[in-house]
Amino acid sequence: MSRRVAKYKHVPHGRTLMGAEPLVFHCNFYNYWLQKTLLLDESLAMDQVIRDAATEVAYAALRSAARELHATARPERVQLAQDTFAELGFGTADFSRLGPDGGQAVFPVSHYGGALRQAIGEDFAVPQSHFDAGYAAAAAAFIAEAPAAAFEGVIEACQSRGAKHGLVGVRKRTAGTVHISPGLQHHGLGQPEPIQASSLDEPAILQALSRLDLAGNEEGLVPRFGVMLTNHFANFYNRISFEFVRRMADTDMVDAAELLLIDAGYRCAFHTLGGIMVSAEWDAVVRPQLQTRLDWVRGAVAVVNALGWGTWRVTELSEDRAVVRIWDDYESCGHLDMLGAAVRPVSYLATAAVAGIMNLIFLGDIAQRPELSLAFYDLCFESDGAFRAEQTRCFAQGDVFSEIVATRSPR
Amino acid sequence: MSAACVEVRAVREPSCIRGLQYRLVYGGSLVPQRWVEQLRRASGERLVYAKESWGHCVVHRLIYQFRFEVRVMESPTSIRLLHRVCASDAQRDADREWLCEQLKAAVHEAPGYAHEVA
Repeated sequence: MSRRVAKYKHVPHGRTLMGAEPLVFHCNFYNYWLQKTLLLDESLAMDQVIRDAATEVAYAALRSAARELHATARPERVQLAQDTFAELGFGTADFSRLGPDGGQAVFPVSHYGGALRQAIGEDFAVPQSHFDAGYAAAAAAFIAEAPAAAFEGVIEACQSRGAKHGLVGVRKRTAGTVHISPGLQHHGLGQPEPIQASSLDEPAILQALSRLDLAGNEEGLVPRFGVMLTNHFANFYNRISFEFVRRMADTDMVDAAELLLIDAGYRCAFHTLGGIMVSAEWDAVVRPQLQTRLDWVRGAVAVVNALGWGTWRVTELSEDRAVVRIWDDYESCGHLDMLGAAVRPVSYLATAAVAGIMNLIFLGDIAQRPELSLAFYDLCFESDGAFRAEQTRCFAQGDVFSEIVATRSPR
Repeated sequence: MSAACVEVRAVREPSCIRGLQYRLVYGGSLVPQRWVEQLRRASGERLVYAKESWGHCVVHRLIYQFRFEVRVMESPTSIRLLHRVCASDAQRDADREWLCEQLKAAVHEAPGYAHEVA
């Protein structure tokens, strides 16, 4: 498949950029649960935040891609916006009807429209393709060489509600603004500790995973590990998560906001990491090296190191406790770049993922290939003795690395 | 033994709610590279081919754009089939049936399957 997109750049500590925008892999289940969490309280108006965050990151990515590829003519810019959308797993888009006054964007296939629907198995009550709407607004501004906040997208039809195609009306923005994406500025500090000796050859695992084709297929989707992946913009997740916490803090609900984000992270751990651990790819690449259940934890961490989430190291591990240190966890980097130093730990997804890995392996015995059902989720995360994790160090709070400690909850 | 005796079953992946993913399970042995070539010919050369190394295994991916993808050699006893989102239900049924028939014709009862080494 021939697409013209900006080159992927691999930078220290396992981070990947497209143009200047850091990317991270996440699946449709996490995208569903995170969005569901953010939209729980309509009074927070997070739908607009999601659309604007999509505009912010897409506009930045497209502008840097255009500079890199010298895409100046309108047809090149339309194609670049469409190709980037498909390459990263968001689906297929037709931006040919966008002009200087807006217009309409068509989405024959949409991750947020279709794959989120896949995550729940039925139509949604309200459309889910806020990301597509924000991306379309960014594409319109990019194509017209206008400022990022020139347009806004309005969802007119969405596959999540049963529509055949997604439709987004793009019109001139009359209110509000869009942040300028910081890209990736704070990163690369410190030297990750050596990988602890075990039966695993982690560099070989990383090399094998790097050979997998994880670009969007001809439908602009990435069906891998039993889920639909997106190679998403890290600063999209960061913006919407931190803004959610900030808005919840206005009503003294910071603790609840953090718990909700960690809960969304459990779904990510369960479906993405669980899906990986029962996948054919895992069987071929990782499983032959595993001898003990502790090795399974190390294997999962090795795979995480291919997802763009930073460099993870297991520094302490037993059947009752895990300590994982992370260099350049994407949430901390994002907080430093967007908001400066944090007063509380901010690596919600990483915290959930460490607990999730331990729960899948030691409570769920994922080595036995259970079906990743709701009942299995409850077994893994709601049982007595389930692992809970705490972030004990945070890059965004001045530590060189972030540290997550997972221990069993009291029975 | 004749290939006609060999059973091929399409098993829906329970984790895929929309029914896009199946495993085509067969008893017997398959020479993957030969079947890949047969399938390409049978499709009128419409299948896009890609090869991936998964550690020591080689996985063959065949893509009929906007209709389906098959991954050969993920497992010694099955082929993975991924229907595309754009394909209609009727198209998916027809494609699955066609692939089962193609597989049935290629599988032999004698053992002898082994993963190709990258």
